[in-house]
Amino acid sequence: MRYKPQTGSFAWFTHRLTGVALTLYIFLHLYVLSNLRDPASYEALMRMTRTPLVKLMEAGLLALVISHGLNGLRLTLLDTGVPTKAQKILFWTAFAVGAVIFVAGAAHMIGGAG
Amino acid sequence: MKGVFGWLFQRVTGLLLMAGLLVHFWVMHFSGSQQISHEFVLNRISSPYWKTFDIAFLSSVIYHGFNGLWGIAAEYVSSPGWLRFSKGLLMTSALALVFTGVYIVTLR
Repeated sequence: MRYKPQTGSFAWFTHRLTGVALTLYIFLHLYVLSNLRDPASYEALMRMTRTPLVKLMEAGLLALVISHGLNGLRLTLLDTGVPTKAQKILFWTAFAVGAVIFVAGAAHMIGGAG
Repeated sequence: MKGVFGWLFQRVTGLLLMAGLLVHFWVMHFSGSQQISHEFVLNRISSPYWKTFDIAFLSSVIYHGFNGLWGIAAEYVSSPGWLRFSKGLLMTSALALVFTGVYIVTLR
C-alpha cells in the first residue's frame, strides 16, 4: 500500500519538525541571553543580529513560530469539538492568516525597524 | 507526563504561549530600537512583574517543548533502557534551561 501525502499528514509532520527545531532554539536563545552578564560580549552579539544573514534566520524563526502556533491552534480546535471534517479548511485558513502575519513581520524585521 | 493531563497541559501551555508570544514579540520587535540594549534589558528584568512573566513564559515553553520531545521519544524508542536514558537526558536539559533562565532574570 502506498501512502498518499495530504494536508493532514503534511501538517502533522511539519508540526513535529518545527516543534523539535523550536525546542532546540531555546538553547541558543538562552545562551545568547546569558551574555547579559557581560555588557561588552552582549552588545557584540546584538551587533551581529543586525547582519543580513542573522536577520534572514530570524525571519525563518518567525516562520517556524507562526506555523507551529497556528497549527497548534487548529489542533486544539479539532480536539475541543470542531468536527474533524473541518480540518482541511482550518489548515488553509491557518495557512492564509500565517502568510499575512509572516510577510508583515518579516518585512518589519528585515526592513530594519525590528 | 502521562495520559489526559499530558494532553491537557500541552494544550493549556500552548495557548499560554500564544498569548505570551504576542507580548514577547511586541516588546522585542515593535517598541523602539533601544529595546534590546544591555541597559534597557537589565532595567526591564529588574521589575518583579517582568521576572514573573519571563519565568512563567520560559517554564511554559520548556514544559511544552520537552513534553513534545518526550512524546516523540516514546513513539520511536522501544528499548526500555534507551527510553530511560531519553527521559533522563530530556529532564536534565529542561532543568538546566530553567536554571539558566532564573540566572538570567536575576542578574539585576
